[in-house]
Amino acid sequence: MNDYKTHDYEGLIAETVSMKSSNGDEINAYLAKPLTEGNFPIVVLIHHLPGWDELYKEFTRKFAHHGYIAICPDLYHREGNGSPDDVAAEVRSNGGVSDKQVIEDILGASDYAKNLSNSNGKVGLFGTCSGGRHGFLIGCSTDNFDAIVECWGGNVVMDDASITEKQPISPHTLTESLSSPLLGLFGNDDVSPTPEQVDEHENLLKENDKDYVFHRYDGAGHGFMYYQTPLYRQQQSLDAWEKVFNFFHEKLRS
Amino acid sequence: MCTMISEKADVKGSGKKTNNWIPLDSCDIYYDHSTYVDCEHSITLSFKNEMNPIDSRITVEITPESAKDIINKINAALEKGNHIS
Repeated sequence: MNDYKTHDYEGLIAETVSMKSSNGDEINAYLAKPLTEGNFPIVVLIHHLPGWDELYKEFTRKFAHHGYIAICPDLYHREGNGSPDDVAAEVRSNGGVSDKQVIEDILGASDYAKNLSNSNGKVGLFGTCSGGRHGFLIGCSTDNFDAIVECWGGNVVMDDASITEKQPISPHTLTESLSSPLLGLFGNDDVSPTPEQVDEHENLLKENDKDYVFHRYDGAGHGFMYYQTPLYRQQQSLDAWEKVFNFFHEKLRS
Repeated sequence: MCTMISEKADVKGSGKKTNNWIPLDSCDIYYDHSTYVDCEHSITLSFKNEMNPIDSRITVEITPESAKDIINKINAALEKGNHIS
């Protein structure tokens, strides 16, 4: 998956930075970037419902290790300061964060990274779980991104009962507006999204003639790339990571 | 992690955080993919004090079967207690 050789110099810096959401709010983000010379594409990571946690910081460093400027904003920054799972529980208790605010925070993170001197100006989105849903939603709501990876986005297809003030639109109804190539990764044993919901999601992409590829894994459910949980499926996860890096390489480095 | 199936109960009680008991006034109950327990979905009970919801949180994550068993045993205990009072 990597093209470096063992004798090559390798280095990256990973740190918390303060950035501006496009609505002007100051929030924290985790930034990881190569220390080597070059013009690097950007990946903005959209963390999952369990929060701005260790896993997402590891994912952020993983992208930097593979030659991307990677930035992961803390979408729960305004909810309070505490351990990631405690903050995430409070966000859940309050019905999540608003889609509008997430879009603004991701646009802010993208702008922050684009202004770094070693960026090539191309930006991909990567999100899992609620972050996968947000990735697709952002791709349908803006034209700022060059590639989107949606991993098992729950509630991309929402029923009327799931619509709330904070999540006022089911993202699948916006498919016609998708502005970026999309890679979707799903487990066939998942119940959120169910295979039927993924079918509906895919049918709309087909009907609207969108540039997309879906990979749907047998023997895997939700969160199959989360190595620290019982959901982890090694073979499917390794294959999915390879597909993620190949997709971003093709869309962001050309 | 994506179901957002969540309920909330008003609580009058207390819970123990390491060495100290603290007052609790709320409990979030959610059904979602598990974080630690070895099952696909779990029930999480997240007790807290609304004055300090993040730091006061006391959480347990249990399998759905465990949750059903606890519900039954709580009801059984309440019924026995009602006979005493």
